[in-house]
Amino acid sequence: MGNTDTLTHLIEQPLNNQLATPLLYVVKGGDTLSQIITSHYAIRYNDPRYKMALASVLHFNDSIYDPNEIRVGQLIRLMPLPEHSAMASCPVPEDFYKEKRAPATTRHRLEPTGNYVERFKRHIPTLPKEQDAFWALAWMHENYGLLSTAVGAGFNTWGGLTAQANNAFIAEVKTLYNHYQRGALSKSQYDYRRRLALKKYSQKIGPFEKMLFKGKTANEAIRISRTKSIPATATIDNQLDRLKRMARYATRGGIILTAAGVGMGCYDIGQASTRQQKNEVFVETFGSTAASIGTGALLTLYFVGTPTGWVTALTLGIGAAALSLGAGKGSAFIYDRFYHKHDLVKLIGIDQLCK
Amino acid sequence: MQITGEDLATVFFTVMIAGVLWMPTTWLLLSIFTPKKLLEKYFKEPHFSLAETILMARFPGFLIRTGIFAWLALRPSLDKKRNIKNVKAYMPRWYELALKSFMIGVIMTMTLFFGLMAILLLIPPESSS
Repeated sequence: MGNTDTLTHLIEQPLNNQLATPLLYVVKGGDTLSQIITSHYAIRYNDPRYKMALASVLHFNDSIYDPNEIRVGQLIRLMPLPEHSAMASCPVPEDFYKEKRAPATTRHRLEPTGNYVERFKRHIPTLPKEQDAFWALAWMHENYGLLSTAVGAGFNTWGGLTAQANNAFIAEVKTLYNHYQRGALSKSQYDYRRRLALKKYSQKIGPFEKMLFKGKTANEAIRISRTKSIPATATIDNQLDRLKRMARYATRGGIILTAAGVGMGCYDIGQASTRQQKNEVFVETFGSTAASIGTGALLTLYFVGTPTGWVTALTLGIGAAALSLGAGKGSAFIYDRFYHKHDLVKLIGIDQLCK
Repeated sequence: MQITGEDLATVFFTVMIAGVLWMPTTWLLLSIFTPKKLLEKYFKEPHFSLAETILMARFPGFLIRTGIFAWLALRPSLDKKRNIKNVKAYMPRWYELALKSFMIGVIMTMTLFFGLMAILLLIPPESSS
């Protein structure tokens, strides 16, 4: 926490510098880093404070690999320079270039060396009231893989439980009632078949029955309405509509989660400071996407025979989410071990796309 | 010629990237261009429940419907539960071939993907380079 405290101190302390707030600068044609430093901080190249300013710029801008290579349109974060700070005694380290270019054997994502506080510290907002929200988002970002797996498993299971194939048992009660009304079934036949359909439904969704019907059993919730003001099957229709809505939300949740996962991967590729990191994030994202699409297509075999029981829904849900996460991690591990010399991100051009 | 871990990794990443590019695109196209004749014949009760016909009528549910038809085109003996017989008679030849190719392609891609992943993860560290 020492580093974080220092940095927070740096940001919050009153600044003697002419610029008291951070600034984002867009690199224009003909700009050099020394020119930018000179014009922004009023520190010339031969000034003893120049190294301090350069160190600050490099510290707060992971996207700068080489001070001599900045691109037109690149965003540079220019932070205030306090007169007395740890940064002042922190010139550009000699091994800066080596470090930024990252040795291929370094494992960033699979064997994290620090916690997320360390990684996100340079993005801390300057306003104290924004900092709590920032840390909450940073935590979510850091734990997205785990969160998305848990939430993904939840969505998959929820989708499985509310799947329309299961709801067919409830729809059957309505059909049975219509047959009974037409005289095709006697009262006892109708009661027996109704109980049977709802019993099958209860068996399929198991312990989640009361959760889906707001504390009631399916037998209690799926009733023929005796009120004359509404159709007899209105309650069943309402329940079916509710379950259909839930299935739709679960499906959309799954899609949003997948899209968010790809978006998060793209963001990570754009933000990663080294080629190694970019490639690991890329193969992790692509690996988990390939696994989830492929297994999704193969799992349709299961739907050739219906419907889904709660044990199966849970198993499929957790299994699919875990497989996707595992495939992503496995892909990153394989890249790290066998393929770190190759720059897949550059080859495909995804780096520029994500930026 | 000795096959190295790097060679296998090349195949692994090629399969992975190609899979992410072709699988969702083909699946989506096959779902959009599902023959009307096939849908009119089988995409109704009793082959699909009423609720399933609502859920699988549009994106993303129709991907499951396409998957079901693809499996039935590939293995007609799977028709027992849904009683969807001779599915090939209700689709043009090109669509039948595309459905079969899609499912075989997915099976091959996933077999290669997970197979190579297992092999690469099991290679002892000293022989990784």
